[in-house]
Amino acid sequence: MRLSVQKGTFYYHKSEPIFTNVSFLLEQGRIMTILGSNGIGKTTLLKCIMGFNKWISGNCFVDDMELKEIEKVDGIGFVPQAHRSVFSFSVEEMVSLGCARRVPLFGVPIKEDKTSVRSALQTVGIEKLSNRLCSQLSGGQLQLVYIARAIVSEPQLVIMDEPEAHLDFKNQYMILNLIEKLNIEKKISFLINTHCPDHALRISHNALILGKNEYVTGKAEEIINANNILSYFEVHTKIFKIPGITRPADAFVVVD
Amino acid sequence: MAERKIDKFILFMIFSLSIILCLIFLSLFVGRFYVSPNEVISVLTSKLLSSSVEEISTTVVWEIRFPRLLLAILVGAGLAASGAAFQGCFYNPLVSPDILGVSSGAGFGASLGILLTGVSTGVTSILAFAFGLVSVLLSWILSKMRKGAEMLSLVLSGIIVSAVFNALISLVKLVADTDSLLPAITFWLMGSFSGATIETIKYVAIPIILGIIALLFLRWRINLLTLGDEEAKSLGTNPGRIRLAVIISATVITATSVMAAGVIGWVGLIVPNLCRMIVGDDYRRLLPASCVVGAIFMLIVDLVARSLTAAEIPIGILTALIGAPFFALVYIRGGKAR
Repeated sequence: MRLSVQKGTFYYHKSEPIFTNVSFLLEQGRIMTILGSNGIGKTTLLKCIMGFNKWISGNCFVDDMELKEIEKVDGIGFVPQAHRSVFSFSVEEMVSLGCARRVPLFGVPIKEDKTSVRSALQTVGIEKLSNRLCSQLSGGQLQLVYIARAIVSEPQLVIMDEPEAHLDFKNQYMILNLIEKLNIEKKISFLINTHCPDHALRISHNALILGKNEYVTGKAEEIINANNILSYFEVHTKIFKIPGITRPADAFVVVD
Repeated sequence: MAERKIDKFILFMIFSLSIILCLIFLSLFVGRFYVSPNEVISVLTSKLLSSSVEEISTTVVWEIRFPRLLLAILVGAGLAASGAAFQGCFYNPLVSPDILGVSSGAGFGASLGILLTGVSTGVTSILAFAFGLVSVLLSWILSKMRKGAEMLSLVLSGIIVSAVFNALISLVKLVADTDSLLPAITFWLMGSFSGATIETIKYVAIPIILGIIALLFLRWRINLLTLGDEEAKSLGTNPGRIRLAVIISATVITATSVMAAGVIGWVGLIVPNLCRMIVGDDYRRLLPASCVVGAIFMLIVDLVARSLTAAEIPIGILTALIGAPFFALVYIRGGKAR
Protein backbone atom coordinates (compact mmCIF):
# COMPACT_ATOMS: atom_id res chain seq x y z
CA MET A 1 0.00 0.00 0.00
CA ARG A 2 1.32 3.36 -1.07
CA LEU A 3 0.01 6.56 0.45
CA SER A 4 0.44 9.83 -1.36
CA VAL A 5 -0.74 13.33 -0.64
CA GLN A 6 -0.85 15.71 -3.58
CA LYS A 7 -0.95 19.45 -3.06
CA GLY A 8 -2.97 19.21 0.12
CA THR A 9 -4.20 22.55 1.42
CA PHE A 10 -6.26 23.27 4.50
CA TYR A 11 -7.40 26.30 6.44
CA TYR A 12 -10.23 27.32 8.74
CA HIS A 13 -9.93 30.98 7.72
CA LYS A 14 -8.53 31.83 4.32
CA SER A 15 -6.20 34.45 5.77
CA GLU A 16 -4.57 31.90 8.08
CA PRO A 17 -3.68 28.78 6.08
CA ILE A 18 -2.68 25.81 8.25
CA PHE A 19 -0.70 24.25 5.40
CA THR A 20 -0.55 24.89 1.67
CA ASN A 21 0.23 22.52 -1.21
CA VAL A 22 1.76 19.77 0.92
CA SER A 23 2.82 16.75 -1.13
CA PHE A 24 4.55 13.59 -0.03
CA LEU A 25 4.74 9.89 -0.76
CA LEU A 26 4.88 7.03 1.71
CA GLU A 27 5.96 3.73 0.15
CA GLN A 28 4.88 0.34 1.48
CA GLY A 29 6.95 -0.83 4.42
CA ARG A 30 8.43 2.56 5.26
CA ILE A 31 8.11 4.70 8.37
CA MET A 32 7.40 8.36 7.85
CA THR A 33 7.24 10.95 10.58
CA ILE A 34 5.58 14.33 10.43
CA LEU A 35 7.46 16.78 12.62
CA GLY A 36 6.55 20.21 13.82
CA SER A 37 5.98 22.20 16.95
CA ASN A 38 2.73 22.16 18.89
CA GLY A 39 -0.26 23.68 17.14
CA ILE A 40 1.42 23.83 13.74
CA GLY A 41 -1.16 21.54 12.12
CA LYS A 42 0.28 18.02 12.32
CA THR A 43 -2.92 16.54 13.69
CA THR A 44 -4.98 18.55 11.20
CA LEU A 45 -2.90 17.07 8.37
CA LEU A 46 -3.61 13.54 9.63
CA LYS A 47 -7.29 14.39 9.95
CA CYS A 48 -7.35 15.58 6.34
CA ILE A 49 -5.63 12.40 5.19
CA MET A 50 -8.20 10.27 7.00
CA GLY A 51 -11.10 12.36 5.78
CA PHE A 52 -12.16 13.76 9.15
CA ASN A 53 -11.41 17.22 7.76
CA LYS A 54 -12.07 17.94 4.09
CA TRP A 55 -9.14 19.24 2.04
CA ILE A 56 -9.67 22.77 0.76
CA SER A 57 -7.75 21.61 -2.29
CA GLY A 58 -5.58 18.64 -3.12
CA ASN A 59 -6.09 14.93 -2.65
CA CYS A 60 -4.83 11.89 -0.90
CA PHE A 61 -4.40 8.55 -2.66
CA VAL A 62 -4.05 5.00 -1.42
CA ASP A 63 -2.34 3.21 -4.27
CA ASP A 64 -4.38 4.59 -7.17
CA MET A 65 -7.61 5.13 -5.28
CA GLU A 66 -8.53 8.46 -3.77
CA LEU A 67 -8.88 8.28 0.01
CA LYS A 68 -11.89 10.34 0.99
CA GLU A 69 -13.32 8.52 3.98
CA ILE A 70 -11.17 6.18 6.00
CA GLU A 71 -14.16 4.04 7.00
CA LYS A 72 -14.45 2.92 3.38
CA VAL A 73 -10.80 1.93 2.98
CA ASP A 74 -9.46 -1.35 4.33
CA GLY A 75 -5.91 -1.84 5.45
CA ILE A 76 -5.35 1.35 7.42
CA GLY A 77 -5.22 1.45 11.21
CA PHE A 78 -5.29 4.55 13.37
CA VAL A 79 -3.83 5.13 16.83
CA PRO A 80 -5.22 8.29 18.43
CA GLN A 81 -3.41 10.21 21.13
CA ALA A 82 -3.81 8.12 24.27
CA HIS A 83 -6.86 9.39 26.10
CA ARG A 84 -9.34 8.00 28.58
CA SER A 85 -12.59 7.05 26.97
CA VAL A 86 -15.86 7.91 28.69
CA PHE A 87 -16.89 4.34 29.22
CA SER A 88 -14.53 1.73 30.48
CA PHE A 89 -14.13 -1.38 28.41
CA SER A 90 -11.84 -4.23 29.30
CA VAL A 91 -8.63 -4.39 27.28
CA GLU A 92 -9.96 -7.37 25.34
CA GLU A 93 -13.25 -5.61 24.55
CA MET A 94 -11.42 -2.45 23.48
CA VAL A 95 -9.02 -4.30 21.18
CA SER A 96 -11.84 -6.35 19.67
CA LEU A 97 -13.39 -3.07 18.45
CA GLY A 98 -10.54 -3.10 15.92
CA CYS A 99 -12.33 -5.99 14.19
CA ALA A 100 -15.20 -3.68 13.19
CA ARG A 101 -14.42 -3.87 9.49
CA ARG A 102 -15.06 -7.58 9.31
CA VAL A 103 -17.85 -7.92 11.87
CA PRO A 104 -21.24 -7.70 10.11
CA LEU A 105 -23.38 -4.66 10.90
CA PHE A 106 -25.68 -6.52 13.28
CA GLY A 107 -23.06 -9.00 14.41
CA VAL A 108 -20.61 -9.39 17.26
CA PRO A 109 -16.98 -10.58 17.13
CA ILE A 110 -16.71 -14.31 16.59
CA LYS A 111 -14.10 -16.87 17.60
CA GLU A 112 -11.65 -15.94 14.82
CA ASP A 113 -11.82 -12.31 15.88
CA LYS A 114 -11.03 -13.34 19.43
CA THR A 115 -8.01 -15.26 18.16
CA SER A 116 -6.70 -12.22 16.32
CA VAL A 117 -7.33 -10.07 19.40
CA ARG A 118 -5.23 -12.47 21.44
CA SER A 119 -2.41 -12.44 18.92
CA ALA A 120 -2.47 -8.62 18.69
CA LEU A 121 -2.23 -8.45 22.48
CA GLN A 122 0.71 -10.86 22.37
CA THR A 123 2.43 -8.83 19.66
CA VAL A 124 2.39 -5.68 21.75
CA GLY A 125 3.09 -7.67 24.91
CA ILE A 126 0.00 -7.01 27.02
CA GLU A 127 -1.80 -10.35 26.88
CA LYS A 128 -1.70 -10.44 30.68
CA LEU A 129 -3.80 -7.26 30.83
CA SER A 130 -6.62 -8.58 28.67
CA ASN A 131 -9.22 -8.62 31.45
CA ARG A 132 -8.19 -5.36 33.06
CA LEU A 133 -10.35 -2.29 32.60
CA CYS A 134 -8.87 0.41 30.36
CA SER A 135 -9.61 2.95 33.09
CA GLN A 136 -7.17 1.17 35.41
CA LEU A 137 -4.22 1.23 33.01
CA SER A 138 -1.23 3.55 32.96
CA GLY A 139 -0.69 5.90 30.01
CA GLY A 140 1.91 3.61 28.45
CA GLN A 141 -0.29 0.53 28.80
CA LEU A 142 -3.25 2.41 27.35
CA GLN A 143 -1.18 3.45 24.32
CA LEU A 144 -0.30 -0.23 23.79
CA VAL A 145 -4.02 -1.09 23.88
CA TYR A 146 -4.70 1.44 21.12
CA ILE A 147 -1.80 0.05 19.07
CA ALA A 148 -3.13 -3.48 19.52
CA ARG A 149 -6.57 -2.27 18.42
CA ALA A 150 -5.05 -0.71 15.29
CA ILE A 151 -3.11 -3.83 14.27
CA VAL A 152 -5.78 -6.41 15.08
CA SER A 153 -7.23 -6.15 11.58
CA GLU A 154 -3.73 -6.65 10.10
CA PRO A 155 -3.39 -3.30 8.36
CA GLN A 156 -0.68 -2.41 5.87
CA LEU A 157 -0.46 1.14 7.13
CA VAL A 158 -0.87 2.52 10.64
CA ILE A 159 -1.37 6.23 11.25
CA MET A 160 -0.36 7.45 14.71
CA ASP A 161 -1.00 10.81 16.30
CA GLU A 162 1.84 11.60 18.70
CA PRO A 163 2.06 8.08 20.11
CA GLU A 164 4.76 8.94 22.64
CA ALA A 165 3.63 12.45 23.54
CA HIS A 166 2.28 11.97 27.05
CA LEU A 167 4.51 9.12 28.11
CA ASP A 168 7.45 9.00 30.46
CA PHE A 169 11.01 8.41 29.27
CA LYS A 170 10.90 4.62 29.55
CA ASN A 171 7.54 4.27 27.83
CA GLN A 172 8.51 6.61 25.00
CA TYR A 173 11.27 4.26 23.95
CA MET A 174 9.14 1.20 24.55
CA ILE A 175 6.62 2.57 22.02
CA LEU A 176 9.33 3.60 19.53
CA ASN A 177 10.90 0.15 19.70
CA LEU A 178 7.50 -1.46 19.22
CA ILE A 179 6.90 0.63 16.09
CA GLU A 180 10.25 -0.50 14.65
CA LYS A 181 9.49 -4.11 15.53
CA LEU A 182 6.06 -4.00 13.84
CA ASN A 183 7.63 -2.36 10.80
CA ILE A 184 10.28 -5.05 10.46
CA GLU A 185 8.30 -8.13 11.49
CA LYS A 186 4.86 -7.31 10.09
CA LYS A 187 5.98 -5.04 7.24
CA ILE A 188 3.54 -2.38 8.41
CA SER A 189 4.08 1.15 7.08
CA PHE A 190 3.72 3.96 9.58
CA LEU A 191 2.75 7.59 9.30
CA ILE A 192 3.54 9.15 12.66
CA ASN A 193 3.13 12.62 14.11
CA THR A 194 5.73 13.62 16.63
CA HIS A 195 7.27 16.78 17.98
CA CYS A 196 10.57 15.13 18.90
CA PRO A 197 13.21 15.32 16.13
CA ASP A 198 15.34 12.73 17.90
CA HIS A 199 12.48 10.23 17.94
CA ALA A 200 11.83 10.90 14.27
CA LEU A 201 15.47 10.41 13.35
CA ARG A 202 15.63 7.23 15.41
CA ILE A 203 12.77 5.38 13.77
CA SER A 204 11.81 6.93 10.44
CA HIS A 205 12.98 6.42 6.89
CA ASN A 206 11.32 9.58 5.67
CA ALA A 207 10.24 12.75 7.38
CA LEU A 208 8.21 15.84 6.77
CA ILE A 209 8.79 18.96 8.84
CA LEU A 210 5.78 21.21 8.96
CA GLY A 211 6.21 24.91 9.64
CA LYS A 212 4.18 28.04 9.19
CA ASN A 213 3.52 28.41 5.45
CA GLU A 214 6.36 26.06 4.55
CA TYR A 215 7.43 22.46 4.87
CA VAL A 216 10.31 20.25 3.92
CA THR A 217 10.22 16.53 3.20
CA GLY A 218 12.75 13.90 2.29
CA LYS A 219 14.92 11.20 3.81
CA ALA A 220 14.93 11.51 7.58
CA GLU A 221 18.70 11.66 8.01
CA GLU A 222 18.95 14.31 5.32
CA ILE A 223 16.30 16.76 6.47
CA ILE A 224 16.48 16.33 10.23
CA ASN A 225 19.57 18.47 10.63
CA ALA A 226 20.69 21.40 12.72
CA ASN A 227 19.63 23.94 10.09
CA ASN A 228 16.08 22.70 9.75
CA ILE A 229 15.69 22.29 13.51
CA LEU A 230 16.76 25.89 13.90
CA SER A 231 14.37 27.20 11.27
CA TYR A 232 11.35 25.06 12.21
CA PHE A 233 11.81 24.76 15.98
CA GLU A 234 13.95 27.81 16.71
CA VAL A 235 16.39 25.73 18.74
CA HIS A 236 20.15 25.70 18.17
CA THR A 237 21.32 22.11 18.15
CA LYS A 238 24.22 20.00 17.14
CA ILE A 239 23.72 16.39 16.10
CA PHE A 240 26.54 13.93 16.70
CA LYS A 241 26.82 10.39 15.38
CA ILE A 242 27.93 8.19 18.22
CA PRO A 243 28.36 4.42 18.55
CA GLY A 244 25.58 2.80 20.55
CA ILE A 245 25.31 -0.62 22.20
CA THR A 246 23.55 -2.37 19.35
CA ARG A 247 23.58 0.31 16.66
CA PRO A 248 24.90 3.80 15.99
CA ALA A 249 22.89 6.59 17.55
CA ASP A 250 22.28 10.26 16.98
CA ALA A 251 22.99 12.53 19.90
CA PHE A 252 21.07 15.79 19.94
CA VAL A 253 22.74 18.52 21.91
CA VAL A 254 21.10 21.86 22.46
CA VAL A 255 23.69 24.60 22.13
CA ASP A 256 22.71 28.05 23.31
CA MET B 1 -10.88 -15.53 32.53
CA ALA B 2 -12.98 -14.25 29.62
CA GLU B 3 -15.23 -17.30 29.83
CA ARG B 4 -15.68 -16.84 33.55
CA LYS B 5 -16.86 -13.28 32.99
CA ILE B 6 -19.47 -14.45 30.51
CA ASP B 7 -20.62 -17.12 32.93
CA LYS B 8 -21.05 -14.47 35.58
CA PHE B 9 -23.16 -12.47 33.14
CA ILE B 10 -25.32 -15.48 32.29
CA LEU B 11 -25.81 -16.18 36.00
CA PHE B 12 -26.82 -12.56 36.49
CA MET B 13 -29.34 -12.80 33.66
CA ILE B 14 -30.82 -16.07 34.96
CA PHE B 15 -31.06 -14.60 38.45
CA SER B 16 -32.73 -11.42 37.13
CA LEU B 17 -35.18 -13.32 34.94
CA SER B 18 -36.23 -15.46 37.88
CA ILE B 19 -36.81 -12.31 39.93
CA ILE B 20 -39.02 -11.06 37.10
CA LEU B 21 -41.03 -14.28 37.23
CA CYS B 22 -41.47 -13.92 41.01
CA LEU B 23 -42.53 -10.29 40.60
CA ILE B 24 -45.03 -11.25 37.89
CA PHE B 25 -46.70 -13.69 40.28
CA LEU B 26 -46.57 -11.20 43.11
CA SER B 27 -48.11 -8.53 40.86
CA LEU B 28 -51.01 -10.84 40.03
CA PHE B 29 -51.68 -11.46 43.75
CA VAL B 30 -51.28 -7.93 45.09
CA GLY B 31 -53.84 -5.20 44.64
CA ARG B 32 -56.55 -3.16 46.28
CA PHE B 33 -59.33 -5.49 45.18
CA TYR B 34 -58.75 -8.57 47.28
CA VAL B 35 -58.47 -11.77 45.34
CA SER B 36 -57.33 -14.66 47.51
CA PRO B 37 -54.19 -16.52 46.43
CA ASN B 38 -56.23 -19.65 45.81
CA GLU B 39 -58.54 -17.74 43.55
CA VAL B 40 -55.64 -16.24 41.59
CA ILE B 41 -54.26 -19.71 41.05
CA SER B 42 -57.60 -21.02 39.94
CA VAL B 43 -58.00 -18.05 37.58
CA LEU B 44 -54.56 -18.80 36.13
CA THR B 45 -55.29 -22.47 35.70
CA SER B 46 -58.90 -22.03 34.59
CA LYS B 47 -57.90 -21.38 30.99
CA LEU B 48 -56.09 -24.69 30.93
CA LEU B 49 -58.55 -26.73 32.94
CA SER B 50 -61.66 -24.78 31.83
CA SER B 51 -62.87 -24.81 35.43
CA SER B 52 -65.25 -22.11 36.57
CA VAL B 53 -64.17 -19.21 38.77
CA GLU B 54 -65.86 -16.08 39.95
CA GLU B 55 -66.15 -13.71 37.02
CA ILE B 56 -64.93 -10.62 38.87
CA SER B 57 -61.71 -12.36 39.90
CA THR B 58 -61.06 -13.34 36.30
CA THR B 59 -61.57 -9.73 35.22
CA VAL B 60 -59.27 -8.36 37.91
CA VAL B 61 -56.49 -10.83 37.23
CA TRP B 62 -56.66 -11.10 33.45
CA GLU B 63 -57.96 -7.74 32.34
CA ILE B 64 -56.52 -5.37 34.94
CA ARG B 65 -53.45 -6.84 36.64
CA PHE B 66 -52.05 -8.84 33.75
CA PRO B 67 -52.03 -6.03 31.12
CA ARG B 68 -50.72 -3.70 33.76
CA LEU B 69 -47.73 -5.83 34.64
CA LEU B 70 -47.04 -6.45 30.96
CA LEU B 71 -47.01 -2.70 30.35
CA ALA B 72 -44.70 -2.19 33.34
CA ILE B 73 -42.29 -4.78 31.94
CA LEU B 74 -42.37 -3.30 28.43
CA VAL B 75 -41.95 0.29 29.58
CA GLY B 76 -39.28 -0.55 32.18
CA ALA B 77 -37.22 -2.64 29.77
CA GLY B 78 -37.75 -0.15 26.95
CA LEU B 79 -36.85 2.99 28.86
CA ALA B 80 -33.76 1.38 30.41
CA ALA B 81 -32.57 0.06 27.04
CA SER B 82 -33.13 3.37 25.29
CA GLY B 83 -31.42 5.25 28.12
CA ALA B 84 -28.39 2.98 27.79
CA ALA B 85 -28.43 3.40 24.00
CA PHE B 86 -28.68 7.20 24.21
CA GLN B 87 -25.75 7.24 26.64
CA GLY B 88 -23.60 5.28 24.21
CA CYS B 89 -24.72 7.35 21.27
CA PHE B 90 -23.66 10.61 22.83
CA TYR B 91 -20.80 9.07 24.80
CA ASN B 92 -22.15 10.47 28.02
CA PRO B 93 -23.27 8.31 30.95
CA LEU B 94 -25.47 11.10 32.31
CA VAL B 95 -27.71 11.28 29.27
CA SER B 96 -31.19 9.85 29.62
CA PRO B 97 -34.24 10.07 27.37
CA ASP B 98 -35.51 12.89 29.61
CA ILE B 99 -32.34 14.94 29.33
CA LEU B 100 -32.56 15.03 25.54
CA GLY B 101 -36.10 16.30 25.77
CA VAL B 102 -37.87 13.32 24.21
CA SER B 103 -40.15 12.90 27.22
CA SER B 104 -41.09 16.58 27.27
CA GLY B 105 -41.58 16.55 23.50
CA ALA B 106 -43.69 13.41 23.54
CA GLY B 107 -45.50 14.74 26.62
CA PHE B 108 -46.37 17.92 24.77
CA GLY B 109 -47.51 15.96 21.71
CA ALA B 110 -49.76 13.77 23.84
CA SER B 111 -51.18 16.72 25.83
CA LEU B 112 -51.95 18.44 22.56
CA GLY B 113 -53.60 15.25 21.35
CA ILE B 114 -55.76 15.03 24.48
CA LEU B 115 -56.64 18.71 24.13
CA LEU B 116 -57.65 18.34 20.50
CA THR B 117 -59.35 14.97 20.51
CA GLY B 118 -60.45 14.59 24.12
CA VAL B 119 -59.11 11.14 24.92
CA SER B 120 -56.09 9.04 24.07
CA THR B 121 -56.54 8.18 20.43
CA GLY B 122 -54.47 7.48 17.39
CA VAL B 123 -53.92 11.21 16.98
CA THR B 124 -52.49 11.42 20.51
CA SER B 125 -50.10 8.57 19.79
CA ILE B 126 -48.93 10.04 16.51
CA LEU B 127 -48.41 13.48 18.04
CA ALA B 128 -46.55 12.01 21.05
CA PHE B 129 -44.26 10.08 18.79
CA ALA B 130 -43.66 12.92 16.32
CA PHE B 131 -42.85 15.50 18.98
CA GLY B 132 -40.60 13.02 20.77
CA LEU B 133 -38.52 12.70 17.64
CA VAL B 134 -38.59 16.44 16.97
CA SER B 135 -37.28 17.24 20.45
CA VAL B 136 -34.32 14.86 20.16
CA LEU B 137 -33.48 16.25 16.75
CA LEU B 138 -33.65 19.81 18.06
CA SER B 139 -31.33 18.96 20.96
CA TRP B 140 -28.86 17.30 18.65
CA ILE B 141 -28.87 20.12 16.09
CA LEU B 142 -28.59 22.76 18.80
CA SER B 143 -25.56 21.05 20.34
CA LYS B 144 -23.91 20.80 16.92
CA MET B 145 -24.33 24.52 16.36
CA ARG B 146 -22.23 25.37 19.38
CA LYS B 147 -18.53 24.65 19.09
CA GLY B 148 -16.59 23.32 22.02
CA ALA B 149 -17.31 20.78 24.72
CA GLU B 150 -19.78 18.48 23.07
CA MET B 151 -20.85 16.61 26.18
CA LEU B 152 -21.85 19.75 28.01
CA SER B 153 -23.50 21.42 25.04
CA LEU B 154 -25.64 18.36 24.42
CA VAL B 155 -26.94 18.34 27.96
CA LEU B 156 -27.55 22.09 27.79
CA SER B 157 -29.36 21.78 24.46
CA GLY B 158 -31.59 19.10 25.94
CA ILE B 159 -32.40 21.35 28.88
CA ILE B 160 -33.28 24.17 26.49
CA VAL B 161 -35.52 21.97 24.34
CA SER B 162 -37.15 20.44 27.42
CA ALA B 163 -37.81 23.90 28.81
CA VAL B 164 -39.55 24.97 25.62
CA PHE B 165 -41.74 21.87 25.50
CA ASN B 166 -42.51 22.06 29.21
CA ALA B 167 -43.65 25.64 28.66
CA LEU B 168 -45.81 24.47 25.77
CA ILE B 169 -47.27 21.73 28.00
CA SER B 170 -48.18 24.44 30.54
CA LEU B 171 -49.80 26.40 27.77
CA VAL B 172 -51.88 23.39 26.76
CA LYS B 173 -52.89 22.88 30.41
CA LEU B 174 -53.83 26.53 30.66
CA VAL B 175 -56.31 26.35 27.83
CA ALA B 176 -57.55 22.83 28.64
CA ASP B 177 -61.02 22.37 30.13
CA THR B 178 -60.49 22.28 33.92
CA ASP B 179 -63.18 19.69 34.60
CA SER B 180 -62.27 16.94 32.22
CA LEU B 181 -59.19 17.54 30.12
CA LEU B 182 -56.86 19.19 32.64
CA PRO B 183 -56.98 16.34 35.20
CA ALA B 184 -56.53 13.86 32.37
CA ILE B 185 -53.45 15.65 31.12
CA THR B 186 -52.01 16.19 34.61
CA PHE B 187 -52.38 12.60 35.76
CA TRP B 188 -51.18 11.32 32.47
CA LEU B 189 -48.03 13.45 32.65
CA MET B 190 -47.14 12.02 36.07
CA GLY B 191 -47.16 8.55 34.62
CA SER B 192 -49.33 5.58 35.44
CA PHE B 193 -49.95 2.04 34.33
CA SER B 194 -53.53 2.10 35.57
CA GLY B 195 -55.03 2.64 32.13
CA ALA B 196 -53.44 -0.52 30.77
CA THR B 197 -55.74 -2.88 28.92
CA ILE B 198 -55.05 -5.74 26.60
CA GLU B 199 -55.86 -3.27 23.80
CA THR B 200 -53.13 -0.87 25.01
CA ILE B 201 -50.63 -3.68 25.14
CA LYS B 202 -51.44 -4.64 21.56
CA TYR B 203 -50.34 -1.36 20.08
CA VAL B 204 -47.58 -0.59 22.59
CA ALA B 205 -45.82 -3.94 22.52
CA ILE B 206 -44.91 -3.94 18.85
CA PRO B 207 -42.97 -0.62 18.66
CA ILE B 208 -41.25 -1.17 22.02
CA ILE B 209 -40.24 -4.75 21.22
CA LEU B 210 -39.11 -3.81 17.72
CA GLY B 211 -37.10 -0.92 19.14
CA ILE B 212 -35.44 -3.15 21.73
CA ILE B 213 -34.67 -5.78 19.09
CA ALA B 214 -33.12 -3.12 16.83
CA LEU B 215 -30.94 -1.90 19.72
CA LEU B 216 -29.94 -5.47 20.58
CA PHE B 217 -28.93 -6.05 16.97
CA LEU B 218 -26.70 -2.98 17.16
CA ARG B 219 -25.37 -3.81 20.63
CA TRP B 220 -21.77 -4.26 19.59
CA ARG B 221 -21.80 -1.31 17.19
CA ILE B 222 -22.90 1.00 20.01
CA ASN B 223 -19.54 0.22 21.66
CA LEU B 224 -17.90 1.83 18.63
CA LEU B 225 -20.10 4.91 18.94
CA THR B 226 -18.91 5.49 22.50
CA LEU B 227 -15.39 6.12 21.17
CA GLY B 228 -16.43 9.27 19.34
CA ASP B 229 -16.89 9.78 15.62
CA GLU B 230 -13.27 9.96 14.49
CA GLU B 231 -12.17 6.79 16.23
CA ALA B 232 -15.31 4.98 15.09
CA LYS B 233 -14.61 5.99 11.49
CA SER B 234 -10.96 4.98 11.71
CA LEU B 235 -12.10 1.52 12.82
CA GLY B 236 -14.19 1.23 9.67
CA THR B 237 -17.68 2.02 10.81
CA ASN B 238 -20.10 4.77 9.79
CA PRO B 239 -21.04 6.42 13.10
CA GLY B 240 -23.61 8.74 11.53
CA ARG B 241 -25.83 5.97 10.27
CA ILE B 242 -25.55 3.81 13.37
CA ARG B 243 -26.27 6.79 15.59
CA LEU B 244 -29.32 7.62 13.50
CA ALA B 245 -30.58 4.04 13.77
CA VAL B 246 -29.99 4.03 17.54
CA ILE B 247 -31.65 7.42 18.05
CA ILE B 248 -34.67 6.39 16.00
CA SER B 249 -35.03 3.07 17.86
CA ALA B 250 -34.56 4.65 21.28
CA THR B 251 -36.92 7.50 20.43
CA VAL B 252 -39.59 5.09 19.16
CA ILE B 253 -39.35 3.20 22.46
CA THR B 254 -39.43 6.31 24.62
CA ALA B 255 -42.20 8.04 22.69
CA THR B 256 -44.29 4.85 22.80
CA SER B 257 -43.70 4.52 26.54
CA VAL B 258 -44.74 8.11 27.17
CA MET B 259 -47.76 7.55 24.98
CA ALA B 260 -48.85 4.48 26.95
CA ALA B 261 -47.83 5.31 30.50
CA GLY B 262 -47.08 9.03 30.61
CA VAL B 263 -43.83 10.64 31.61
CA ILE B 264 -41.76 8.28 33.74
CA GLY B 265 -38.39 9.78 34.51
CA TRP B 266 -35.18 8.37 35.99
CA VAL B 267 -35.48 4.78 34.78
CA GLY B 268 -33.46 5.49 31.66
CA LEU B 269 -30.69 7.02 33.73
CA ILE B 270 -30.53 4.88 36.87
CA VAL B 271 -30.95 1.39 35.48
CA PRO B 272 -28.20 1.53 32.83
CA ASN B 273 -25.76 3.10 35.28
CA LEU B 274 -26.56 0.48 37.89
CA CYS B 275 -26.01 -2.20 35.25
CA ARG B 276 -22.70 -0.65 34.20
CA MET B 277 -21.46 -1.29 37.72
CA ILE B 278 -22.56 -4.91 37.62
CA VAL B 279 -21.84 -6.10 34.06
CA GLY B 280 -19.48 -3.39 32.74
CA ASP B 281 -19.79 -0.96 29.86
CA ASP B 282 -19.79 -3.43 26.96
CA TYR B 283 -23.18 -3.06 25.30
CA ARG B 284 -23.28 -6.77 24.47
CA ARG B 285 -23.96 -7.30 28.17
CA LEU B 286 -25.19 -3.85 29.17
CA LEU B 287 -28.24 -3.77 26.89
CA PRO B 288 -29.76 -7.13 27.85
CA ALA B 289 -28.95 -6.45 31.51
CA SER B 290 -30.61 -3.02 31.33
CA CYS B 291 -33.74 -4.58 29.83
CA VAL B 292 -34.22 -7.11 32.62
CA VAL B 293 -33.23 -4.77 35.44
CA GLY B 294 -35.48 -2.06 33.95
CA ALA B 295 -38.39 -4.49 33.98
CA ILE B 296 -37.64 -5.52 37.58
CA PHE B 297 -37.38 -1.90 38.69
CA MET B 298 -40.66 -0.97 37.03
CA LEU B 299 -42.54 -3.99 38.40
CA ILE B 300 -41.38 -3.11 41.92
CA VAL B 301 -42.28 0.56 41.50
CA ASP B 302 -45.70 -0.36 40.17
CA LEU B 303 -46.29 -2.77 43.04
CA VAL B 304 -45.45 -0.01 45.50
CA ALA B 305 -47.55 2.52 43.55
CA ARG B 306 -50.71 0.48 43.82
CA SER B 307 -50.33 -1.07 47.24
CA LEU B 308 -48.59 1.48 49.48
CA THR B 309 -51.51 3.83 50.03
CA ALA B 310 -55.26 3.73 49.52
CA ALA B 311 -54.99 6.08 46.54
CA GLU B 312 -52.66 5.14 43.76
CA ILE B 313 -49.38 7.06 43.59
CA PRO B 314 -48.35 8.24 40.10
CA ILE B 315 -45.39 6.22 38.81
CA GLY B 316 -43.31 9.25 37.81
CA ILE B 317 -43.29 10.49 41.40
CA LEU B 318 -42.14 7.11 42.72
CA THR B 319 -39.38 6.55 40.19
CA ALA B 320 -37.87 9.87 41.25
CA LEU B 321 -38.42 9.30 44.98
CA ILE B 322 -37.05 5.76 44.96
CA GLY B 323 -34.66 6.22 42.09
CA ALA B 324 -32.78 9.37 42.98
CA PRO B 325 -31.56 8.42 46.47
CA PHE B 326 -30.85 4.87 45.33
CA PHE B 327 -28.85 6.21 42.42
CA ALA B 328 -26.93 8.57 44.69
CA LEU B 329 -26.04 5.63 46.94
CA VAL B 330 -24.96 3.39 44.08
CA TYR B 331 -23.07 6.21 42.44
CA ILE B 332 -21.04 7.04 45.58
CA ARG B 333 -20.20 3.39 46.22
CA GLY B 334 -19.46 2.71 42.55
CA GLY B 335 -17.03 5.61 42.49
CA LYS B 336 -14.99 3.98 45.22
CA ALA B 337 -15.03 0.58 43.56
CA ARG B 338 -13.72 1.94 40.28
